[in-house]
Amino acid sequence: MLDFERWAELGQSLSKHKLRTGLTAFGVSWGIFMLVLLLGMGKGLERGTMTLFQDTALNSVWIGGGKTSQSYKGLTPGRTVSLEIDDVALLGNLPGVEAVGPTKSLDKGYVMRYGKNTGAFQINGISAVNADIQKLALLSGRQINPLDERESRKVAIIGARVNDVLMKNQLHPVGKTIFVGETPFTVIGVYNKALGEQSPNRVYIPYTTLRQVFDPAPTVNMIALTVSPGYSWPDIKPEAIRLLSRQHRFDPNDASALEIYDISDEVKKVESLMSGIRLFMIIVGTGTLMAGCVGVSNTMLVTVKERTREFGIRKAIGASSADILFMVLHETLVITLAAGYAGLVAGVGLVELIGRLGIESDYFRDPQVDLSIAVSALGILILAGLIAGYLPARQAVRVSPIEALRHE
Amino acid sequence: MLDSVPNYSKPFREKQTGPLKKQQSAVDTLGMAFEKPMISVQSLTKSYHLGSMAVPVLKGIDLSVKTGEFVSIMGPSGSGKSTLLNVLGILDRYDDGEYILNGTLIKPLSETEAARYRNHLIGFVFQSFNLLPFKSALDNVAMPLYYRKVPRKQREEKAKKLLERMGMAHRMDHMPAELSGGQRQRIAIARALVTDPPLILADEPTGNLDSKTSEEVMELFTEINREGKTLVVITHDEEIAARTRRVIHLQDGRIRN
Repeated sequence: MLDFERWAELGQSLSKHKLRTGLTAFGVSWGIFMLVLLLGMGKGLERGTMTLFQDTALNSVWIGGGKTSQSYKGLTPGRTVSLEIDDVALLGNLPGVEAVGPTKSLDKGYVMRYGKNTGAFQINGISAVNADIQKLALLSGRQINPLDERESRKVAIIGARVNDVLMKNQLHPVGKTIFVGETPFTVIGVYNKALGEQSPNRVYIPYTTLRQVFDPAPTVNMIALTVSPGYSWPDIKPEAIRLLSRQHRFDPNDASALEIYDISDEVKKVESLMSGIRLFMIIVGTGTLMAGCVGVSNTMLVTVKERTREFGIRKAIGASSADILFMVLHETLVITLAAGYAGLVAGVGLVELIGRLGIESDYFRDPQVDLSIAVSALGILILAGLIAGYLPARQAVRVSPIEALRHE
Repeated sequence: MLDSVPNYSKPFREKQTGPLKKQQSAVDTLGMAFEKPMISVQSLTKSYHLGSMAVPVLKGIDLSVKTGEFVSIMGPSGSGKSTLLNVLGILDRYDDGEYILNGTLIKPLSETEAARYRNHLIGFVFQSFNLLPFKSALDNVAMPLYYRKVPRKQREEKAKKLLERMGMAHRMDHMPAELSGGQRQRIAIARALVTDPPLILADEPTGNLDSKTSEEVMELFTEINREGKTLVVITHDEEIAARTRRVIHLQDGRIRN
């Protein structure tokens, strides 16, 4: 490979057909470029999707009331099961439950005021425990803490959108007072992302405060709990359902009586979806690369046909089959590797650029080509080069010097 | 070794013409010192297979060429002379019989072996020159040494010396397309000589040349022969054949006597 003459031969041969070499090389470049781009983007998709779970603890389970679908102890089906604050304590005593807290959102929006600005927003009551589970992504300020809850303090975490409307995007909203109806609330934080929200346009206050000021009913919308390490939701589920079914009088086997979202289960589903997408991208990318390699192989076959005479001469003056084989293989390998490397660099460059520019959305962020992608792409490239080179090289070896040197 | 090669370019510079006459061969010069045959062929047969039918081309050839001889093989087309040349040049296999070249039984088992024999024992000169069009005259001449794994510097040195003696030093860096037919054939002859093989096989070497250039080439061959090389020229040209020491006539796959 380090033989200068061999490289000189190669240079002569390739530079004789610049356009053709360039076009075939482009096929390979494009293939590897697409492969890297697809895999890098796949990584971005994966990361983006996983961040959707970032505003909630990955070991959390959310339970809400549903509608019964079976009759139970003389009660008709179709009853609404409404969870209450006592259920929170009930679930909290179960082994394997780490923490548990209620959330409650008020049905209607409340008109809020800051200075002369007003707007109607929805109010959610959460507990301090729940704040941990829900992990509101705060721009500034702090989360709701147990003291706020115990003392039913009139404190609020407002959405960035609320800040935008009421306070005209004030730089330091924390500590300011907004009025909900006639009740003053101190802003303790601003969030920009929360589970299940399209845009941050709600106001979170302590659950106890919500009951005291707006709605004294002991109901909750959702109970959020986290599972202790070493436990999983399926371990806890039967006992939890048994307790709740006794409390609310429904058949423990009635699947529609409760609405349960096991986040870890959702994460697993998304992860398997992602690996499916990744596999698909590998297949598509490799397919594109293969098409490029078929192009190289095809061109080299044509080239070998055209160079029959040359191979004949070389054989007549002493080139062995191995010499001819390596010569052709060398050419294909150099084209595929050089072109492929260029495609790899371009692909990595573009993915990096997209990452640097901070192009992201709900389902896409931080695309990246990690080392394993680059290495496997390189491996595929070498393999592809060998496959692309093999057929033409074999063809070249088969050239009979007699045929080739026949008089014109 | 190359320093002992006489200066071939001199006769060309003097533009020697005149009637073709039989030249002295190495055998005459050196007496019968070289009794060992260069080529020894016995009962050699070769058939081509067209489907299930075998078409015999060489039907038992017996041929002996002594070291230092200058012979021509003549025959009409279809007589099997191309096939014989291919067999002698180890470009093709034969079916039965025996072919001993320079004391080596030529029955190569593999392509690689055949290539090695060709490289070491034979220099080829073709009708259509068969130079590589994208290589300079110097590179073309040096090429056989490349396949012998001779270092680049030595290759070029040797090739240069040969080209100088052919009177082609000033065309060293030219591409074949920039040269005349005679010049190209001289490059090809230099290429055939560069590995210093004991046998030169020439297939219609003057077929593409005008009569004056043809004579120059034959003159060159005579010089090479005088220096001790064995030459076998395949031709259908009576005049060319007449300038060799012995003419072997081939007809219908057999040697005619």
